[in-house]
Amino acid sequence: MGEPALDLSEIMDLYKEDAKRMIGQMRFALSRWSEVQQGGPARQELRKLSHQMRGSGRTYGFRQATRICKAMENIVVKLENNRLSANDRVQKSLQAKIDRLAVVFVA
Amino acid sequence: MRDAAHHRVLVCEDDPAMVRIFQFLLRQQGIRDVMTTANGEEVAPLARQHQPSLILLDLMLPGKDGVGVLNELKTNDETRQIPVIIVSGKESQEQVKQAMMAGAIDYVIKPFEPMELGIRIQTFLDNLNPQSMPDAGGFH
Repeated sequence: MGEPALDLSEIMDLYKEDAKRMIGQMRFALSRWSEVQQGGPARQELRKLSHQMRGSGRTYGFRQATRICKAMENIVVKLENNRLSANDRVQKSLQAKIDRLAVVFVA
Repeated sequence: MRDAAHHRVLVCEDDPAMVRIFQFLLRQQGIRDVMTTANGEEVAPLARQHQPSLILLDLMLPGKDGVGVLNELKTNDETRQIPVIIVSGKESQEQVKQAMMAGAIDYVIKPFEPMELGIRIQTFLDNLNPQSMPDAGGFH
């Protein structure tokens, strides 16, 4: 059996607020879909936010958030490397992931 | 050996949620003197001016990338002795190797278990040789 997890309750509520704010920023970035398609600031914003929440999610105990954000970051990296085309299917996939992320932080 | 209260730590991280957890971990260890910056360009000047006992450095900072920051710190006589722990989401062996070759003393991959990082920081600060400590300056 490993070490007991550190009690983060003192800062957890602040993190949940951070997470909700970041999800809002993700939604706003995705709403600028043409920028995402063309590699503009909205795509960079999506990559940054998903990368940050991938790192912080599990650290705060939200493993599901880290899994979702890792998948989002992978999609954006593939767009940047031209290994994926920015079509409607990709947009819907990102939207669905943001929706799932929001559910994680509802409780 | 300095007690924890007399250590100063410079946190270089642009994610507020991570900054908060670093501050929490350091506070748990009795370290109150925590400086933060979210911009890679500011790290070396802050380190020169304030001579922290330890730097926690993210590799993906706006302004200047982390390895560039690390090189800047390790090639300057005023900052080369300051230990740097990389805390990064970059997880490839090549990136770890690059950072360690540039002079980092440890590399922690995000996401990490908070207690594990806390123990690593504590162990490191406990073992600091007082003879090699940077000047404390006026933060007592």
